[in-house]
Amino acid sequence: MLIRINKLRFAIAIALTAAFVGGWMLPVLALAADKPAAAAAPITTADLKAISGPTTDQLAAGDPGGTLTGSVNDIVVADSKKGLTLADLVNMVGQNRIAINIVWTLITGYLVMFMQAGFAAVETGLCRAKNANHTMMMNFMVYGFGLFAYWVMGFALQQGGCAPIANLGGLNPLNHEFAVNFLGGKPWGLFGLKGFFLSGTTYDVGIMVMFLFQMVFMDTATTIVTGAAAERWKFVAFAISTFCLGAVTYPLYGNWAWGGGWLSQLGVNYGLGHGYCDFAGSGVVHAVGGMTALAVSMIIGARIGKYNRDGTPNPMPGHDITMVLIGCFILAFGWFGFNPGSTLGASGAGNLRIGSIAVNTMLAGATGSFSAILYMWIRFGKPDASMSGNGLLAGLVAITAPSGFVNTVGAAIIGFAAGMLVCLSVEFVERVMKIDDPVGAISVHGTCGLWGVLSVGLFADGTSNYGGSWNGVNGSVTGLFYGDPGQFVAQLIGGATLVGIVFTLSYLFNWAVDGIVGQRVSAASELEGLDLPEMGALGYPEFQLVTPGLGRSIEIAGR
Amino acid sequence: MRIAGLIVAVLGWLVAVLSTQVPGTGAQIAVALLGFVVACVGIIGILNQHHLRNAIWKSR
Repeated sequence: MLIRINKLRFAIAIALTAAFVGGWMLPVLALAADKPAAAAAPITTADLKAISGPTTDQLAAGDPGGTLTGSVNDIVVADSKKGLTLADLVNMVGQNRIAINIVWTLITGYLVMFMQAGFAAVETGLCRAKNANHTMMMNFMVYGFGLFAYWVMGFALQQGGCAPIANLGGLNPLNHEFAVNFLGGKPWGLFGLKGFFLSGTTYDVGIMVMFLFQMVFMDTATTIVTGAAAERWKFVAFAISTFCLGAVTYPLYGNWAWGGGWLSQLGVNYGLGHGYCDFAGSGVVHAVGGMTALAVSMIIGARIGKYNRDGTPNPMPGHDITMVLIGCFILAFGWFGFNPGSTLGASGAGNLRIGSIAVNTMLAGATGSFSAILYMWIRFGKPDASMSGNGLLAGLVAITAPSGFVNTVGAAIIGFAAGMLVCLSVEFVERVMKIDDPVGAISVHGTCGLWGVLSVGLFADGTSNYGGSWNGVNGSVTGLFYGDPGQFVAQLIGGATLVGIVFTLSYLFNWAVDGIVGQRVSAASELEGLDLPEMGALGYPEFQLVTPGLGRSIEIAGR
Repeated sequence: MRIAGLIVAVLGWLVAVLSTQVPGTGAQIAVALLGFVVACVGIIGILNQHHLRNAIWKSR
């Protein structure tokens, strides 16, 4: 009996072993025996005609499972008499790719537009209550003034020679870039010449999408300045200054970086990596706004009471920290449009990297706020709320240029450094330069924007592949730490252009505005608060506002 | 002083751009960095000093 059981166990063990080994080996043997697969027969129009979709009766019954909706019936045919052809199918695939990209770009553009609300909340919250209406109105009207300037001429100067942009169908009417030969006889694109008023051949579906997306970016740059100059900027001067920025200064740098201009061609012309790379605008948007904010702040001077006669600064806390932090969250949300949207598409040409870009964005923002709060906690003994918000924004600003080219470790480092940098920069601007910046815009957007520009040249890891090339140079953008020092040179030149040219242009424009209408309100208006003198209405009409330190109480009730 | 500061800032940019004509990537980085610093000096070291001399808080 025992022997029979052992035999049975042995037989089972043999059978199991054979089944196990056979399970692995059989497919291998089968593969070895396989002959090369015959090439698939190309699809023909006859094949397409054999495909049938759900019938009208089936569709009339409803489709709760979603298995019938979207079928061969939904492919648009060019000629109903011929029926579905291969050309119809191929055209549909092409149009679907562009449709995905257009919808993606529009939706991310809408997110960026909503960032205006975030900026308005941050800047108004960081200002005193007596200037709430004025600060909010600057943030509100910057949208209209900037948009108008950009439609009239800004877009044409920036993108008038940017074609082709394959992700949006080519944008082929944008084909005229003004260039001069410079340094070694190389062509230097300076500005575009197509698209004024979006008229003529630029009345094009793809160009409209491009305009919307680029316009909200420009608007972000213009709204940076209103924060730095808040609480003493004359409204009419703000309006003219915003027009100049939206019509000329911003578009010029935008052209050099994104419109096929000379910075983007540093790789093609001089072998410097892939030319100046600024994926979503640390330089084009934030540093341009920051440099202009610096120029205006210098010209306009500090608020009354900000500095003592010996030059020591006085704190002037904002009136609503909850508004500030909610604004920061709105901005962080909008940044998911800013950075991932800058692929200008989600389909084809490496655009699926949008997931990586979004993660880089959230990581850098988080590490930025973390390092800023750490700095403030160690240095001043308390975790400062407004600087935590600025740290978040600093990280987001810094990752904007490299977001499409770096990995998550690089993004975390860039954000962390930006959080520290913004704290140091705020102190430097306030205590050493003695420039009054109520919201820290110069440091958040100027300093950290420049850091973002340079960080591309350091941390780009050479894994991105947007259609196989960038700025006309084949291969992936690679920074100094990953083996391409030339990219860092290109980024340094881009940074020097921001400081040397963009600042100078902004300064000259605003110097002229100062001479024509005056940049600064009267001392009496400033002390009273700008809501009534400049806007004619108070932000908080039922409150009694007291200005700390000045011993002035502004009676509001009954006015 | 204003004009001088702006001119130095633009000169800094020019130095950075001239790095494209320098042989060797190490030298290019050095020249571009120098241009960047010169441009900053034009703004922070020269132009801002002009504004600080006439600062509103000095007269109050």
